[in-house]
Amino acid sequence: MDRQELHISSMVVHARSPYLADVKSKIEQLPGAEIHGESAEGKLVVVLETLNQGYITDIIDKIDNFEHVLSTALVYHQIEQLDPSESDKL
Amino acid sequence: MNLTRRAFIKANAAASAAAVAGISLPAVATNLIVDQDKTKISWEKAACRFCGTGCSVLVGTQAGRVVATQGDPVAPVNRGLNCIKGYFLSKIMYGHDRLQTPLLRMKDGKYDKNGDFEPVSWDTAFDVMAEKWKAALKSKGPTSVGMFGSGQWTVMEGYAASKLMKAGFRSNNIDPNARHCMASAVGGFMRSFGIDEPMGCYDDFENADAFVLWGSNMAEMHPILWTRLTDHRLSNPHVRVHVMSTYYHRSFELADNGMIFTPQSDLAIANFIANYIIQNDAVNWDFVNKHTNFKRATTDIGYGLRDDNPLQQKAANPNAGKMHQMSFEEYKESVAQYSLEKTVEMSGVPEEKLLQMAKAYADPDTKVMSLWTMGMNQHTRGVWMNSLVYNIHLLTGKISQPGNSPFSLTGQPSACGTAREVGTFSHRLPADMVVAKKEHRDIAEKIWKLPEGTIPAKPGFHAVLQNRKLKDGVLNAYWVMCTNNMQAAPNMMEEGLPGYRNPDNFIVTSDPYPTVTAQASDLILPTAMWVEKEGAYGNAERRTQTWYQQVSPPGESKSDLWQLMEFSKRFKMEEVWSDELLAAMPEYSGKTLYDVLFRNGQVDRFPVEEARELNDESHDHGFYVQKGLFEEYATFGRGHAHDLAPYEHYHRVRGMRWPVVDGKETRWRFKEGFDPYVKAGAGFEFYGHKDGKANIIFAPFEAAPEVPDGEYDLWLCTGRVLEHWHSGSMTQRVPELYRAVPDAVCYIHPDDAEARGLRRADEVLIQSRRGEVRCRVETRGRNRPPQGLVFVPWFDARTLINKVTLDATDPLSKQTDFKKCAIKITKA
Repeated sequence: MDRQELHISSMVVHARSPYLADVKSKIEQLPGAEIHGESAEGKLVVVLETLNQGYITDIIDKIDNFEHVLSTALVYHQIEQLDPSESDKL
Repeated sequence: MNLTRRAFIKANAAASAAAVAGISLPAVATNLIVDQDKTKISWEKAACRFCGTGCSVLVGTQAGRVVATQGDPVAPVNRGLNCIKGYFLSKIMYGHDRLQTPLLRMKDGKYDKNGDFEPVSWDTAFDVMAEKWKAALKSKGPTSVGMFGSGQWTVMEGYAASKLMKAGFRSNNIDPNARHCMASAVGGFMRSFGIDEPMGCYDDFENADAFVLWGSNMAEMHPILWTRLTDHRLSNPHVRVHVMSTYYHRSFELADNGMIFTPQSDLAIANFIANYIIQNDAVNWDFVNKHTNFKRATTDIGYGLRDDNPLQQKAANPNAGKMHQMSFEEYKESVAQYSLEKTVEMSGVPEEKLLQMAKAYADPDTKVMSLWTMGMNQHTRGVWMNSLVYNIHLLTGKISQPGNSPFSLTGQPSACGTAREVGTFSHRLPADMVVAKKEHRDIAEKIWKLPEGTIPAKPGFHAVLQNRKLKDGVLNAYWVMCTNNMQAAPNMMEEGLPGYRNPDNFIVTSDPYPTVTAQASDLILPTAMWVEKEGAYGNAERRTQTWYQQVSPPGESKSDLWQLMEFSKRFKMEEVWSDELLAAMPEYSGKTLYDVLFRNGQVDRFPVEEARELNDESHDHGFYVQKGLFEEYATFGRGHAHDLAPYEHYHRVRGMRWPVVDGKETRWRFKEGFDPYVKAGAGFEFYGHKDGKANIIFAPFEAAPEVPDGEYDLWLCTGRVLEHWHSGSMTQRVPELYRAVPDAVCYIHPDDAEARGLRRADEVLIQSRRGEVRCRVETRGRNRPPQGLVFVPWFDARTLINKVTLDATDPLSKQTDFKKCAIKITKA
């Protein structure tokens, strides 16, 4: 039986600072990607939530290839076995 | 606020990334993090399992399983960051085909070389194995047994293996896969400085004004160090990045000066820069006069092929490493032939680009960091090439100071710590000592409490020679550990595979997974990996790091260390040593190799109570195995410029860079004020040589052994990609990484493809004089070769590119040139 896995991960995206707003809007359009913070030098804190294996690298690859993105570095990765009875009430 | 577990993990992930980036988040987010209980994850540090950068990661375990990883925020190397491979470390141990029991080739319930793999007990596995070892020792002596090890072994594993082979079986036929990656770097260090490993450290990244990449694609191969370089470049507009390679790759995206050069012409480029420095009066005479000697290399030294190879027979001085004194004037004259015009012609690099780079080196106010890895080491003139780059730094005195740093990057997590420092090479002993020198053998025998004459004086078979000797039936009992050499070694069809399948031989492979090598063997031993055992690694900047065992290995898997120690119990001293040798220490009569090597009052002196509760090797053997081995090993280097701290100290810090003297690490060696081994008033002291001087060694351009011709009309260069590490035995089993880059492709110039009637994604046949392999072509993407050259990565077990490669080596380092051979491509 396939166990449903939830992957939560975070990364620091370094963009050229004049183009930060542009890069942010592109990232926000990606399903499963959220921006949790930013700095004046052009660094963004991006959190990814994905259900199925494989999508994480796709998203990272997409962000990496956005114009004006200089680097993406991963920081945190956790695999959770999903409990369907629990829901977000934040 | 009702914060669910999912939201909690997300807040936690965000806070970790924010801390690394220096960004503050709203207080509500950060307050969550103290609630450790809610995650139920227990966190411990470990050195990353992959490359030689030596990142520290925090490993999160839950219910005996690794479920999370985080870049270690207090680690000086990676400062909280991970690359994509490090990020999926939590999954490398959980591939679906993880081996669970020993597997032996059997027919009718008995071992049979032509049988199929069947599960057996450890007892049966070791019984059969010991029988084969004893038979080989009895009929042909110690040179018929051998071992192929790893720069991914922990320090203790490499040390135990080396001791077992050199002192126990009295065979120097032990060599690590680091022979394929770092041997030329070692050769360069020993010839130029008389002591191994870089003088500088990663702090140079924040102190340099210019970076020169000699063939390295750091953006993909050392991504975390590349992030440090990128950060420094972008926050300091004056900084310049020069990138050289034989094809365009990702590192060119940041390059201020990108250069594509013809394979092998790096020899000419380095000599041109030395020539430019002299012609433009940029020699640092004070430094050169006080701290250097001029030497010239013996030339026309062949290509490390079999002795009956015509190329080898044509060489005037095959394998000759002797250096000869020369004057500065002679040196000046020797490099003068590498004029700008001639170098442009040989390398294909435009004049203004070569000049830009030469000026950076020549300018006394520009601090330069040179970086290289396999492009320079996997080179039939790799040892020469390493020294040619040191020459440039020595002529200008740009060495051993923050930002002035010739820096040899490393490919494996402990190529430095284990393979090089422990000395698991066929010619080496710990702390840069060699088997050929009596005084070195004496030291090792004294520390190991062995009679004089135990360690053989003759160097054993090196990596490539081991495969040849297996094929020739000279080496018969052979153990491969922690490496996938059937896939990694060159010329598989003519040497590797016939050697493993030779009916005279018994081949054992210890691995967590059924790799190509395991499948080519006769016995497979299931092996614990990474945080399934306690260990230590040493990275490229001389940093030693340790970790504790954090989970239990699956099934009956056991660590390499456990396997080595258990196997040694099967041999009585009378079975492995001669009567004369045993007569010199009669107290060893009737004992086992295990007693003599590991229960010698030193290795077993720390009680098991000092070890963690989860430490399989220590609890099985009844003493703190890792600490005992580490401390015995450390006695070799203490007081000899290789000082290590007390073992337990490494568990408290994120590594320390040796020599560690009076509790302090050393960042820049050979420079007064930084290095405690430099005498007061000396300024610099290259104490690896008796006279305290470094060698500036002239060596000329000599052609590659095989160059494209009318029939085999393309250069083949092999290497890695970001997502996969080495042969892919771990990363190919992580679904995310496999999915990102599932297959090796052949990167080719669109015009070269068109000329052969090929379109993108067509299947092709890549053929050399030695073998052939099928693969799809890629005309776009991250690697863009020039016309006349193709690039194929080697991680893919279904596209075994080493069927095609040539087993030519650097004649001095014995390291294979995986970057150059001639091939042809046709539509499949």
